[in-house]
Amino acid sequence: MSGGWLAATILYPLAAGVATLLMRLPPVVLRFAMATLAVPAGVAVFVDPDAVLQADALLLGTTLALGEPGRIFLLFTAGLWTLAGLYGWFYTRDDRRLRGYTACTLLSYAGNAGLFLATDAVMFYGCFALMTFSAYGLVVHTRTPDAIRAGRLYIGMAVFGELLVLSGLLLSVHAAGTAEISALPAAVSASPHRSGIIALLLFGFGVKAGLLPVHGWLPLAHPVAPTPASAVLSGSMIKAGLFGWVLFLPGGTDSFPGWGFACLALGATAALAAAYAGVTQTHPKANLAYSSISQMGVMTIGIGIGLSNADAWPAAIGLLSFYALNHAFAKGALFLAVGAAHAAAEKTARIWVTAGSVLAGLVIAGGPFTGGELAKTGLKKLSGYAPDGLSIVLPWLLVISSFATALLLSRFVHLQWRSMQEAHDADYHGGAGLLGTWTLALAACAAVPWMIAGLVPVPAVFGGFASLAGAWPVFLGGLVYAGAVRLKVKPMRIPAGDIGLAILDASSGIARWWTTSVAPAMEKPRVSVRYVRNALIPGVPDEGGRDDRITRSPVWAGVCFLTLVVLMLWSLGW
Amino acid sequence: MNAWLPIAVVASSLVTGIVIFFLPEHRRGVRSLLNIAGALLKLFFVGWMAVGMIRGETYESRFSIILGFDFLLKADPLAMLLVGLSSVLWLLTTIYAIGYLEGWKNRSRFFGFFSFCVTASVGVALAGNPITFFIFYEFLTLSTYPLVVHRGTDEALRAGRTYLWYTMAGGALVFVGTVWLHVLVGSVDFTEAGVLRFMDASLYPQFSIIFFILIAGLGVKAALVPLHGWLPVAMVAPAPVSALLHAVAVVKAGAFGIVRVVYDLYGVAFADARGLLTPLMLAAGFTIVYGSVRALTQDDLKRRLAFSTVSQVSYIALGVSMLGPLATIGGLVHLVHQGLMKITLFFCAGIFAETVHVKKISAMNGIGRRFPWTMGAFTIGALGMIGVPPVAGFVSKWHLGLGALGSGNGLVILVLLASTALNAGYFLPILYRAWFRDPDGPWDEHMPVRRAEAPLLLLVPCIITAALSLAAGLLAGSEWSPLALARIIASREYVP
Repeated sequence: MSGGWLAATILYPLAAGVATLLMRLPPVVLRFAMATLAVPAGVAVFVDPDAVLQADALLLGTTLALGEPGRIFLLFTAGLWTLAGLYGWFYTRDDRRLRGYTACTLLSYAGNAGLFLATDAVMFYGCFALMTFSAYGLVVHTRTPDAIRAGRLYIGMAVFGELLVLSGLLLSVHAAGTAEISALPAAVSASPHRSGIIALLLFGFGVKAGLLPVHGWLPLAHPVAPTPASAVLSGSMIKAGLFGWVLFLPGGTDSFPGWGFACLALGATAALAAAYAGVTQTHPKANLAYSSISQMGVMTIGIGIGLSNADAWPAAIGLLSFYALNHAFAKGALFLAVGAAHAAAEKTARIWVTAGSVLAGLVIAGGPFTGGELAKTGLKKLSGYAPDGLSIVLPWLLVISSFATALLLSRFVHLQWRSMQEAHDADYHGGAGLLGTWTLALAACAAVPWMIAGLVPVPAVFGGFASLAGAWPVFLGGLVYAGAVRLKVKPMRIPAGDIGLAILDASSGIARWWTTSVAPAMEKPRVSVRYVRNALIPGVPDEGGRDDRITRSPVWAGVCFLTLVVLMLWSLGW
Repeated sequence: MNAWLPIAVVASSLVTGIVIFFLPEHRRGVRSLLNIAGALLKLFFVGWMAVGMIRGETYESRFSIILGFDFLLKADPLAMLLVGLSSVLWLLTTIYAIGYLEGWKNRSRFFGFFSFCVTASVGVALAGNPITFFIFYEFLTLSTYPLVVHRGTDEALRAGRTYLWYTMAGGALVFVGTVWLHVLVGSVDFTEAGVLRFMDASLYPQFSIIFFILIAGLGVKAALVPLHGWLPVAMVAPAPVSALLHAVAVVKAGAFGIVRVVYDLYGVAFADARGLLTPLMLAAGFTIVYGSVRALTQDDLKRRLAFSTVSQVSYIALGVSMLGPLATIGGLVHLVHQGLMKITLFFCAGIFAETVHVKKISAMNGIGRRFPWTMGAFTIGALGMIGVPPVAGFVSKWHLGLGALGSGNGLVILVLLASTALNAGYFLPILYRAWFRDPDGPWDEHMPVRRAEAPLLLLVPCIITAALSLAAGLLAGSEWSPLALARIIASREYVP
């Protein structure tokens, strides 16, 4: 039956997740479910990509299908979650909360994968919410105070994002008169409220995508989440925000120079500022989180170009899909390397982990013959569509961004190396399984440029591989980092979470003020019923139980009501 | 036969109630049998009526009573919305109550009034004109009072008095409005798309006054702020009573009355043209935000749920107060959705209170480990209240949001957003405690071995209502969903 795999893409992990919650399944079943969660998605992508599944009874009537960008997004999402699932097989060996971890993994994957199949806003929003709320369990999995705090910021910002997304979608659907996604961008473009809608969608999905200034949860959540969960958070779930932009922003229907510029500015700032913040981190996963914010900034630049020029939108989407795919696997490999480092007991293994981290770092920074290089050259070509003036600045900005990324990820490799040097025997866990799975992830990210040959349609803007010399900013970044370490340069530290920390402080402050000052006052209203009653009718006793006969004896009540019924019948004329 | 069916629907619980009063306290088996039989019988009659209505039958019982009033019971789609909800939830609540009141005193009294309460609620739904509505509306007040004070403690009796003061005053207002209307236009029946718009234009100013009198009277039971004071107090009642009060009977009677007055007495277009809807919308919007704000800081679980009810029931009034089919659908469907979700939450609260004596939210740490099914049901209800798809609450919110935009009340979106945020603010911490904290209460954190986590009579109804809350949203597009019925009703209220 056509479309069965689409349904299974969501239903298999969903059913497995619910079963995990309700039944006491043996650990091996849980691990098996996590490792195989994306199998139906794989089949859907490769075997049956044109399937359509219509379900009128579901939600407000829904149809599942794989669009062009959706297919690429689902491909890397399924791939990365599978790697994380395999990795989790070994990572969770001694975890007493395996059940909770499995349930959250399966459910958030179901949402993450499902949203790429949605063709209407309701289904999309539903999957988005499922992913968001289930992922909370991944963030707080370890239950340490840091994890709880990160979880608080995560869920607070996620709800905030959901609110913006919901109102943006409501306005879009109202403008279009239908919830079908294909009809929304044009309707938004023609709507009198289009600026408001764009703002809501941009920042609403931006929370997930790590857009400046709503990115604060990432650097707090990543270090505390279990490593495979960090990998999918950063590799795949934040791409759901990007996908939301791709689907719902009205790019291609009109040119929005103002919003285009806003995206360019936010994206460029994020790309550079986050790189700086990342360089000053001491936790490798916080460093990677900033790398993700920085990379999402580069993708925001792509969105900005597409918004500023309607002609650029299709090319921008094609390119961004590829950029996301490349980043997903590379970032996944980097995160998994953090766990692999803990598994590397021997010197050869350490060298292997370090070399692999360098390779994955090169993929992100745009080193020669990597997917990153393809993405960067493509973006340079795409910046030709940008408004005059910007089209000259942008290529240089991208060069600086490559340099900054190289600096940032050099820091990561350095942190990794240091932690492996300082590790004690007791820290080792996971063993060959982790290393092996990580190697697989590495292979996937190295293979990305060759994937596009067969699987991903080549965006028109690809420039192909540049010469080795084109990669100079990357090497320069590495050299500058090495020099800075040698010279013991101490940049000003940015605490992980930056403005997110301020949001947390402010919200705790407001909550404390509310519970201690405002709420007690509301509990004691000055005017009560008794007050009014005593004023109106003096002499009514305030206390004391003068309960009457009707509540004491049921038979008496029965007699009363029976009489009442008889009287009623009599009044009706019988 | 068609004239008898509405009466049979009402009588099936009335007779049960009266018979139960004459049963000695210790005849538990007979009483339970009667209760269940009555509930099933009602469900059967309702089902019969529903099938008949789909086939195009009409069901109406009309008698003349004193002073030229007609006593009229009539089944229309709107009535079926509440009748269906009441009869399904009555069956479940009865089962729950049988399990809950195990070992309590005065059970005959309890179940007698319990049956009356549902009788009144079904009567309110089927009432075909204002006077019949009023009769059942007051009957509801009287039959719920003994339930509220059932424990007989000082606190309960105090709460009962507060409850009576509020509801009797509200009833008096409804009575004044009804009589005034009767004096002006004689006996009028509830008619789809309204009836007062056909009257003489010189009466319009008086109609406006009557509107506000009626809404104020109904607003007491619907817990519109500032008339909501009784609701948080009344949660001293036993859990099944709270569940019924908050989901089906009392607050729904008020909200349903508002629906009837706006749509079938005045007509929504007429009410809108006379500028009557805007004040209602403001009151509803304020109530939604206020109730949620108050809920935020309550540590008593039932009290938090009570303030949540204050907030959520006004979604119905909010949907009613906006002109446009989508808003209507959103409001009407929430009548059912809120009932399903809130009854689930109260069932859960009752299970915690009865089995491990946990009543405070601060004592709920890790309770999900001891009660995975109960807490699972609670989670569904809570997420639904927040408006997370695919639980039913989302469907309501989505339609209300679109309806607000469609009727040009874009700012109402802000109310919905604020409510969503606040609901998340007071439900998510509960979920966090229950699922993610380690148990530290005095109760045994381990699930009983080879036994369900709670008595099945309590657990099963709770799981069923949770499943229904989920299904109502997940399968909203099917022709058997509450949404489908709400769509039918809305299409009939906007006939030109």
